[in-house]
Amino acid sequence: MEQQSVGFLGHLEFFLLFDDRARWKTIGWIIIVAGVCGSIELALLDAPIDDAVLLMGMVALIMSIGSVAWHCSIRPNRNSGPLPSRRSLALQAIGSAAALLIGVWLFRFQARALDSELVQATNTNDYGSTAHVFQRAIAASIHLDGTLVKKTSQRLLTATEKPAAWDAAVASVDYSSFLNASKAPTERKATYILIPAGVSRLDWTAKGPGPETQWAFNVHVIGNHYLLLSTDIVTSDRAARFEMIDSAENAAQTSGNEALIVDGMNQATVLLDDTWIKNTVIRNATIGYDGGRVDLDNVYFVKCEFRLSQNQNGRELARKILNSPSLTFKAN
Amino acid sequence: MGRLPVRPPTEDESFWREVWTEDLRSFVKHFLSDFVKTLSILAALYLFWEVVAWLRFRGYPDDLCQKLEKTHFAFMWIALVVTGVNFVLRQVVGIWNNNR
Repeated sequence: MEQQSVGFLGHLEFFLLFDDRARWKTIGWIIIVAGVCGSIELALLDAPIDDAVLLMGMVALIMSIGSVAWHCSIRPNRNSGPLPSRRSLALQAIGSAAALLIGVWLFRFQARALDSELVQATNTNDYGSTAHVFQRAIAASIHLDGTLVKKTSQRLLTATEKPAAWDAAVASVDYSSFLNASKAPTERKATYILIPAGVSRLDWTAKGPGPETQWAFNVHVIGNHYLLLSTDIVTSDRAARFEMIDSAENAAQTSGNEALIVDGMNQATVLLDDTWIKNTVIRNATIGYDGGRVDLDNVYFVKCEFRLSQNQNGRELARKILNSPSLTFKAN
Repeated sequence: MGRLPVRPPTEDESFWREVWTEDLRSFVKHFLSDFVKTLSILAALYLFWEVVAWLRFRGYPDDLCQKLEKTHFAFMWIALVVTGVNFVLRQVVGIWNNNR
């Protein structure tokens, strides 16, 4: 009995350490079968990701057990065949490098094609095409040439008497906020609060080393969204603000959260008019601004879609967003 | 012309040669083989991803691109899990084998 058990372990050891051919055959089949099952589940049946992952995990586990049983118990093999030759290793390495190069070339090809379309659209003052280039760049996550984008955006902002030019300028602002994804601060130590649609006010107790303070966040946000509140507590003059300009609710507080992230989950709209927002990142949201009073201090817009009115304050806000990822802007 | 006399290997040289032929050579070849195969799978997945992005860029229907992205996710997930488990298991069994 013990001899049999030692034999199985010996075969398992041989299978895992030396029998490359059998092991990679097993790995290949698992990837193909489980991948096809997962693809059918996800792409054709529109199942949730959790279900598909569970199915793939089960398939992989069953196939692994079956393969181990086959190679180590039913038909054990102690002859791994010859080691892979240098030639076959070199061929595989060259194939991988070629695939990587083609992938990089495809990525760069898209950026170059869009850059060239942008140049052409700008030179012919084709504002519709210009906006379309920015929209395609966002959809395909393509980074256009920075200098070209800046030049085009400035040109669009000076030609805003034409409605199509203004739409293109706003599209360039959308694109600029898409680029901010890598520049804006992200959550590290944060408290997560989901705010359902219809609620645009949160009374939050900031708990720090000092006395607890009741803090209010009451900017008009329409739609489901969530807040990520930094767990670092600072004095109120350095705290994050997300409130109406005239609101005096936080005036008496001595401390608050250092930073705030508002995530619109691609559903919510944040209205900027009459708001005081400070040390805040707003992401995945639609931003509405009619040119009213606003006080923005160290605010980042990430992957946002803008609905800006074409007036002086709207143009100024657009210009500020295009100039720097961190925005400080005040309008009376 | 007589053949040049061959210098016999020193004790040090023969030790390293023995280490290479008996232990390291097989390990390095198996490791390289695994590494290159894993790299091939990752490269194929990357190429798949870029092809889907390119199809999207060329204006193919969004629905088709989303289906392909989901397919890519399924293959990427299972490939990373299986190759990761393969790597970890080999190290664990290798260490266990050396400690026996």
